[in-house]
Amino acid sequence: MFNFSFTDFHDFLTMDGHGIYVWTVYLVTFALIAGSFLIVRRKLNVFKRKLENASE
Amino acid sequence: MFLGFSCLAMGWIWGLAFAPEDAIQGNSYRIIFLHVPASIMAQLIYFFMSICALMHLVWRVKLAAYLIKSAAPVGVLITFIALFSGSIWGIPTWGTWWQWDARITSTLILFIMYLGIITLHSSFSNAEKADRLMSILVVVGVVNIPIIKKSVDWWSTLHQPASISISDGASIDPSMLYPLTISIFGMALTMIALGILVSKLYILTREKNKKWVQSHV
Amino acid sequence: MINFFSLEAFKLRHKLRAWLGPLLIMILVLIAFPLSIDISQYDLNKFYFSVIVVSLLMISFLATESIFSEDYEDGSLEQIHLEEKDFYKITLAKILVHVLFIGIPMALIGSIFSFANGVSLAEAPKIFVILSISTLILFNVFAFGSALSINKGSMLGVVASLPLALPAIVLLGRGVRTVQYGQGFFEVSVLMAGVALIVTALMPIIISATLKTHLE
Repeated sequence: MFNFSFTDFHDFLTMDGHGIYVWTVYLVTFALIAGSFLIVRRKLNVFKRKLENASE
Repeated sequence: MFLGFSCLAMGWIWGLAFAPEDAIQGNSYRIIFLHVPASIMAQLIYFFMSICALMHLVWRVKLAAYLIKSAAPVGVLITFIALFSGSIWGIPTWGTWWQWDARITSTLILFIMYLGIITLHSSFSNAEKADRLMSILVVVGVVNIPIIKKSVDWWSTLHQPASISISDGASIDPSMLYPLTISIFGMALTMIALGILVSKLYILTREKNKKWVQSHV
Repeated sequence: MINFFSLEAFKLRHKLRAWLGPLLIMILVLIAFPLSIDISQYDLNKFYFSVIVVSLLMISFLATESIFSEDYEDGSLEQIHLEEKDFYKITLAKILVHVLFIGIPMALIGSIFSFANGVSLAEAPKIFVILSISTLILFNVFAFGSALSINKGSMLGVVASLPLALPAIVLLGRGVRTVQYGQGFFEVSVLMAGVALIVTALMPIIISATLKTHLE
C-alpha cells in the first residue's frame, strides 16, 4: 500500500503530463487556505491591538 | 488546527505519492483527494449554517447567528476550491474545464447563495434584523442541498456518481479510499479551525463595546 | 381572504405600469432577440425556448419587485400587522393577484411566441400550462426576495432569491423538453404543479416572518 507510485521524482512532478493540473490545484488550494488563516489571524491581532490602545 | 493540517498533509501526500494510478483517468484523478473533501465541506458548512439558522429563529440564540455569519465566508472559500479543482480536473478528464452539468451548476448556485447571504447581512445596519433575515434565507436555501446531492441521479450528467455513499458504501479501491477518508477528515478539521478563528474575530468585533471583550483582550 | 384578494386586485388593476410594464417588456425582449442576431429559422428553433424561459425568469422578478414596498412605505403593512398579527393572507392574495394579472398573461405571451420555435398549434396549450405553473413558483420565490430587500433596492432581492429560482428553471426546461419530444408531459406537469402547490402554501409563511422582522 505504501509503494511509491512513480519511478523517480521527475516522474512524480510530471505525472505523465497531468502534473500541471494536479500541482496547480493543490498549490492554489494550499495558498488560499493558508492565506485565509494568515489574513484572519492578522485581523485578529490588529483588532486586539486597537482595543488595547483604546483602553490605555 | 495543527491536527487538521497534519491529517490534510498526510492524506494529500499519501494520495499524491503512494496511491496507485487510476486505470482510466491516469494521474489526474489525484485531484480527488482535494476535490471530494472540498465538495463535501461546501455542503456540510451550509447544512451547519441551516441548523444554526433554525436555532436562531426558534430559540433566538444570538451565538447561532454569529456562527452563520462567520461560516459563510468559509463556505465561499471552500465552494470556490471545489469548483476550481473540479474545473481543472475536467480539462484532462473530460476535455473541457466547464460543463453545464447538473452537479457543477448546483455547486455554482451554492457558491452564489453563500455570497447572497453575506451581501444580505451586510445590507442592513441593524445587526439583529440582519441576523434574522439571514437566518430565514439560509433555512429557505437549504432546499438546494438535496437537489445538489441528488442531481447526478435525477438528471443525465457528465459528472461521475459519488465515490463514497452512506447507503452503498465506497465504490473505490481501499488504497485510494484510505487517503481520501483522511483528507476528508483533515479538511473538516481545517475548516472547523478556520471557522473558529473567523467566529472569534466576528464575535469580538460585534461585541467590542461590551465589558467582557475588554477584559478578554 | 376574499377581501384581501379583491382589494389587491383593485389596487393592481389601477396601477397600469405595474402590470402592463412587465408584459410589454417581455414582448419587446422576445421580439428583440431574433432581431439582434442573424441566424436562420432552423437555428432559432433550437434555442428560442431558452429566451422565453430566461425572459420569464427576469420579468417575473421585475413584476414582483415592488410587491410589498409601497405598502411598507405607506404604513399599510404595519396596520395589517396590528390588526391581523400575520401577513399570510395578504401575502397569498398579493402573489395570486400578481400571477393572475401578470403571470398568466406572461405565460400566454410565451406560448404564443413559442410558435417561433416551431411548436404546433396543438402543442401550444401544453407550453401555456407549464409556463403558467412556472410563473406561480417564480412569483412566490421572487416575492420572498422582494420581502427580504423591502427597502434596500431590487438588486439585493435578485442576489438573495435568484439561486432559489434556478431549480424551478431546471424543472421548466425539463417540461419544455417533454413538449418538444412529445413524451412524459403529464408526469412533469403534475410534478411541477405539486411543487407549485407546496411553494404556494409555504412561501407566504416565510414571507410573513420576513415582513414581521422588518417591522419589529
